[in-house]
Amino acid sequence: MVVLLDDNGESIFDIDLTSDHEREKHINQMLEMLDANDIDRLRETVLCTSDGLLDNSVRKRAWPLLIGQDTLLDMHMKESVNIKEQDSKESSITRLKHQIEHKDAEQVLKDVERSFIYLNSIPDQQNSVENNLSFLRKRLNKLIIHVLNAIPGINYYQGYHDVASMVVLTFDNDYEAFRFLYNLTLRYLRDHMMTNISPTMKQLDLIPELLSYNDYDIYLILKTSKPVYALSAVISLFTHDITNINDISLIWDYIFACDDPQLVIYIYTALLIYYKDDILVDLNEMSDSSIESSTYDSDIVHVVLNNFIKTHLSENSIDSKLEVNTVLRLALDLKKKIPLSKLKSFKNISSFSFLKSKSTSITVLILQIKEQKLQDTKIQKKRYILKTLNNNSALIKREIHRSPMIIKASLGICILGIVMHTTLKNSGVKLGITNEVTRNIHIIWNCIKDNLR
Amino acid sequence: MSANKGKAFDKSMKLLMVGDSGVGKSCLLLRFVEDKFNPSFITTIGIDFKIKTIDLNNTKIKLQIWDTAGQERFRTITTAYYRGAMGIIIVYDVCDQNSFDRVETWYKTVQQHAKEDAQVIIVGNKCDEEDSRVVSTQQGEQLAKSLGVPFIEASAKTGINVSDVFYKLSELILEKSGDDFQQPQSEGNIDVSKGNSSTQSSSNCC
Repeated sequence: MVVLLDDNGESIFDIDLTSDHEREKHINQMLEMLDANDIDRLRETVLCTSDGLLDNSVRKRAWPLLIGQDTLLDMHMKESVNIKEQDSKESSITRLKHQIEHKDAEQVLKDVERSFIYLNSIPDQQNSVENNLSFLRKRLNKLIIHVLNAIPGINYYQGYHDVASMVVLTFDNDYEAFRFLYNLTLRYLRDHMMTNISPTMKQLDLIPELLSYNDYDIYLILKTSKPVYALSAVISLFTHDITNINDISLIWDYIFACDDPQLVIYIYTALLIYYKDDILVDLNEMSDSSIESSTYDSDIVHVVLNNFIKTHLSENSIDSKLEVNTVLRLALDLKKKIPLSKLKSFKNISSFSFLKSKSTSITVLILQIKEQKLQDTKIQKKRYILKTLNNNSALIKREIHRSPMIIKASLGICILGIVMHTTLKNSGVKLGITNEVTRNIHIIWNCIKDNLR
Repeated sequence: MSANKGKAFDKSMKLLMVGDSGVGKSCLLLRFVEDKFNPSFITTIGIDFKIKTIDLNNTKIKLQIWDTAGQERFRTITTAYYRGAMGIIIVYDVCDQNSFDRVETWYKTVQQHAKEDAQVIIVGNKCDEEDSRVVSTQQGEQLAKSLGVPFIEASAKTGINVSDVFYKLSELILEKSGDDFQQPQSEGNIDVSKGNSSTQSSSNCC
C-alpha cells in the first residue's frame, strides 16, 4: 500500500487500495458517480485519494466530463465543425477525411513518426493489433490533423503530438479521442498555439516568480537561466518529460479534477521544489569548478533543469507513483498558498489566456489570436521605427552639414519646438520610442549647433 | 550527465547544431557523445546540450554541443544561443529535398545571429540510406562550396563520419581563433599545432 505521511506522521490518504477487491470497489464507486453525473463528488474523490481515477475504463468517461466537455461540445460543433450529434461515430471521422491536409501536416507527420517510443505501458484493454506501432501512429496523425482543422487559427507545435499520443492511448474510439482532444486544446493548450510562442514564454515566467515565494535559495540559483527549461514539460502537459504512462495519467487526473490549467504551472514548480537536492547535486557535478558554489553558469542551469524530470522521476512504478503523489500534494498546497494573480508576471498574460479565462468559445479564441497578432505588429512597428530613426539621424546629420546657414537656423528652431512639445506631453521618458526620438533630436540639434558656430 | 570536475580539459568550445526538423541532429549528437542510435529518437523541444571531451592535437577540448528544435516556432528561443557558439553545424537529410533546400536559409540565419568568426560546417545526414537518397553528394559539395564552408556526409545510424564532423569543426575553430577563446583558468600556453586540414575540403561518405 502506498501511504503518504504528513508532518505529524499521519496518513494523508484514507483509502486502502492494496487489494484487488478494494480497487474494484473504488472503481465501481467512481463509475456510479459518473452514472449519476455527480462530477463534483468525483472531483473531490480524485483530489483526496492517492490513486486518481485508477483505471482507463474510468478515465475514458471521466476526463471528458472533468474538462467540461458535455456542456460545451454542442456549442463548439455548431460553431466550427460540421459534425452533427446524430452522425454515427465512425462516419463523423470519415466526413472529416477530406480535411486531412493542413499547413502543419508535414511537421505533424515528422513528429508522429517519432511517437510512442517512451511510453512503457500500454493500457490493458488494447489488443495486440491495436498495440501495433504503425496503427497507433496512423490514428495519431489523423487525430491531430482533424483537431487542427476543426479549430480555426491555431498552429501546431512540437509537444502537442505527445499530448495527442496520450489521448490516442486512452481513448480507443477515434471519435471520442477527437472530441476530447478538441476540448482539451481549447481549454488547456490554446495559448501555446498562437502565431508565435510569446504567450507560452509569458506563462513560463510565472515559474521562477512562484518559486521565489516558496524557496528563495533555489530561486536565486535558477534565476540565472531563462525558464525555457520548463518549455517541454509545460506545453506537453508533462507527456514529453515523463515516460511512465501511469504517472502521466495520475497527473492528468489531478489537473482535470481541479478543472484548472493553472495547476500545470504549480506542478512544475512543485517538481523543482521536490527535486531540489538532486538538482543541486547535478549542478555541482556539471560545473567545472571543484568548489561548491551558489552561482552556476546559466547554460549548466538550463541543461540540468531541462532534464531533471527525466533523470530523477523514478523508473520504478511504485516509487514514481509515490513521488508523483507527493509532488501533486505540494502543487495543490502551493496553489492554495499563492494565487497566480498575486504574481507580477501574471499581469503580462493576456486576459484571453486559458490561465485567466475559462471560456472555450471559438469567438474568444479568435479574439485572442487577433490580440496576439496586434501585439506582434506593434512590436514589429516599434522595431522598425527605432531602426529607421537610427538610420535617419545619421542621414540628417550628413545633410545638415551641407545645408546653408538660414536653413540650419530654421531647422534648429523647428526641432527645438518639437523637443519642447514632446517633453511637455510625455515628460520625455514615457516610452522607449519617445526616448529614442528625443535622443535623435538631441543629436541633430547638437549637430546644428556645431554648424552654426 | 558528464562530470567535468577537476578540469580534465585544456580548452572548451561551444558548438551549435541547427537544421530542419527530423534531419537527425539529436541522433548525430547521441552517436557522437554516447555512441548510441535510436531510429525513432524523441523530438527536441526548445534547446538542450551534451558534453564530450575530445583530444585534438594533444589538446583536450571540452565540447559543449547545443542541440536545437527544428520547428520554426522555436526559433526565437534558439537564435538567442547562436551568439555564444564558436562553431555551427547545419544539418540536412540527404533523403529530404526540403531540408536541403532550406540549408541556405539556415546559413543566412546563422550569419545574422552568430558571431562573425563563428565557423560553419554543413552535414548531409542519413547517407547510409542510398535507396531513399534524393540529394547527391555533389549537390551538397556544390552548395557548401558556394557558401565557402566545409561539407561532410555522415550517418548517425551507422556512425560513419560522425566523429569527423565534430573533430573537423573543432579543428577549424582552433585554426581560426588560435588561443583567443575561453580557456580554463591557470592553464599554460598550450602550443596548438596548426593542422593541415583545409577549410574547403569535402569528404564523401557512403
